[in-house]
Amino acid sequence: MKLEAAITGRAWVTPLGSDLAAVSAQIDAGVPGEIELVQDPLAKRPLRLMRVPSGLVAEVSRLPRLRRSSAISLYAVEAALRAVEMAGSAVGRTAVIVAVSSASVVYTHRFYRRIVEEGARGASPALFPETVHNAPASHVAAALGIDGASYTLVGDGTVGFSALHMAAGLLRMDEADRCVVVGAEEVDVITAEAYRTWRFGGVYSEGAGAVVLERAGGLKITTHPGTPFTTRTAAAAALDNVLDVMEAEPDLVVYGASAGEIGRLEQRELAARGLLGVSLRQSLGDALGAASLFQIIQAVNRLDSGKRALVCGLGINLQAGAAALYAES
Amino acid sequence: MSPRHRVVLTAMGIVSPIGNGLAATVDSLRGGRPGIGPVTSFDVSQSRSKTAGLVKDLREPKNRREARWHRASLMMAAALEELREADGAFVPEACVIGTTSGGMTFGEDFFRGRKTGNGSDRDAQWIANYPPQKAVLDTLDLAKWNVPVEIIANACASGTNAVGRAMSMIRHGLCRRVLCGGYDVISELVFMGFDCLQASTDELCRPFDKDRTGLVLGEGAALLALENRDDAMARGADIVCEISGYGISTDNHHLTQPHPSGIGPRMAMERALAVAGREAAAVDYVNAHGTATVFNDGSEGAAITELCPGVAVSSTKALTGHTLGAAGAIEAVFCGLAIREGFLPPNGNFREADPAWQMDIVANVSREKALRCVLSNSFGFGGTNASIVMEAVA
Repeated sequence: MKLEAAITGRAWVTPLGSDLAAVSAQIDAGVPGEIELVQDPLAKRPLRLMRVPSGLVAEVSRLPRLRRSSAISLYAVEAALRAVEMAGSAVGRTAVIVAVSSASVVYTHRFYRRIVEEGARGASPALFPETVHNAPASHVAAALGIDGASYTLVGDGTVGFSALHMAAGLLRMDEADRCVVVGAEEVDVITAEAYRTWRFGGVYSEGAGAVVLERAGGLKITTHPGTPFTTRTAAAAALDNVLDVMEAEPDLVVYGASAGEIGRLEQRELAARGLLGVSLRQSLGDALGAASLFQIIQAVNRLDSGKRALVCGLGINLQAGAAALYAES
Repeated sequence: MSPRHRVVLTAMGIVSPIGNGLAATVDSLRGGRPGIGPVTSFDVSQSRSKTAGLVKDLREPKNRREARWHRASLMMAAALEELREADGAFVPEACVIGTTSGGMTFGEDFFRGRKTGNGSDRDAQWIANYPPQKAVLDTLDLAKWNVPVEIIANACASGTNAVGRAMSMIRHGLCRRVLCGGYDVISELVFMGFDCLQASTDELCRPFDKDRTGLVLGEGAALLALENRDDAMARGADIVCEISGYGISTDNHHLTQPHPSGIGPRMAMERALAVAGREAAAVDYVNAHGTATVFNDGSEGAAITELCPGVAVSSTKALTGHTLGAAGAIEAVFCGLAIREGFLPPNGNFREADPAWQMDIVANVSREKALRCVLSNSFGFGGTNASIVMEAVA
């Protein structure tokens, strides 16, 4: 079942910066994000990572609650606060939905490493709370002063589409009047090595994208719940299933949440439908939990009035997802 | 405003430390038999707590594909098989599952392999099982159900969030049938995490006891089939009970500690009752989150005392351990069984009431009682709180 809502605010924190117009222009120009080659004892080969410049979250990192938080929470809070600022004063109940893939993996890695090296006495009570998947959502809710619904969804590079669909559902069901949807990711060598082992083939990157959804008042978005698949052969059918019910003749297509074989399959399917548009991967890497929100935000940035956009992705191990956008004249 | 539909529970499946399957679960709940035992899958010699609620006699893999599965997938598969045996006609339109740590044990194995230099690129198998969605997709694949999936990771409230979210989707007409539930498996990382916070106890888990000393972790999985009541009645489905309310709240007090006033739990319960259209006085029984930590029970006890003083309350975590993301789903199954069979599950290991609260603790022994309206609570790190209302169908 498709659902509709309106995007009234947006913001991102990316490896290329956080200014909406400047990053958008760099993506259009094909400016590649800076790739850091990392050698680590845990990795069998050098790892390719794309990181967010630390200065982008300097201000939120001084908030008392965030002084010890993981990078993913800083990205999520920064993006959420700026998206809400763009949307303006809230009316009624606000819900928070945060989409993650690897979640707070930096602290998880650090916490478990000390257990492996030192046993139980190495387990740090300062680290463990931040390893919990919903830590970023909790920090976003606290930063926005929200006492209502707060959800964390976990998935692959298309989990952001699921979060947008959940948000549109909460608005439709009158369980919220405004939803702040955040997609976030942080890089760590253990995850990068895991994806390398899995022949992921991409440049693992990080950051956060946030959009504010309301029932009306902004650019229209149509969300889709996504279609899962468990084998690569079923992935094409899953993408077909999603595309069949979404925007058929878009003026703009922003595709590509993933790298590797699944990404190539996605490109082939879209090309066969004449829908091969633009991908953000060269500029922003493979940001998994943040990827779908990056795509949505770039589509909003580039959508002229009266035009329609299709934003879609094929995740590496869960689902095909999509959303359609329409900018009213 | 969208239409309002009534939502019923038509089938359940469960694997938990107190038994695999509904019949074994009822026996254990009625008899107050705990499923807590020593942890042997990793070294606990230096940790404060050394026990957990562990699933025993788990179903064996049935083929080569299942042989590669995560333990969580086998738990979920067992729960699904029981659910489908009870209601073979149920086919969901969506699936909502709660979990906290997913396939964390695979992540631990991967890290250890890399750390010791014993890992290889064949470790991709570990990683394929690590994402929390893997066990869910394995389960859906068993039934050939290709439906949209939401994996909610709201810490220890996840299971109740999943059931509540599924209820809301049907209530508002977004779906007619939703499979929901939760799962979690004991992992070293999470075990050591609760241990280092001194949230775990080195003795028995004693929820709501004046001298409670902390929680015991657990593992398990539960699945519930939720359906539009009119549809379920039209097809003659066996209706266990109605799920009539869901409330969610966020308490921004602290990442790991609830506000001592109980404002977060209270808001969740009030919102769930408001959706159900029930007064607090109508509640016959509260299946509490009741982890037996000083802070959680303090906050929840205060909230229940304020909202429905004197109500019958038990936490079943003394029997099962705290099954984290599975807890809300497992306890929703317990509540469904309590409503169907007419009894109050006991609050194990209870010795002395805390004078701060007015609650009728179902101490150590189950009670026979016809139940009309039940609240089930789950609260988690990050200040996230969820409650559902379950009612007998007249």
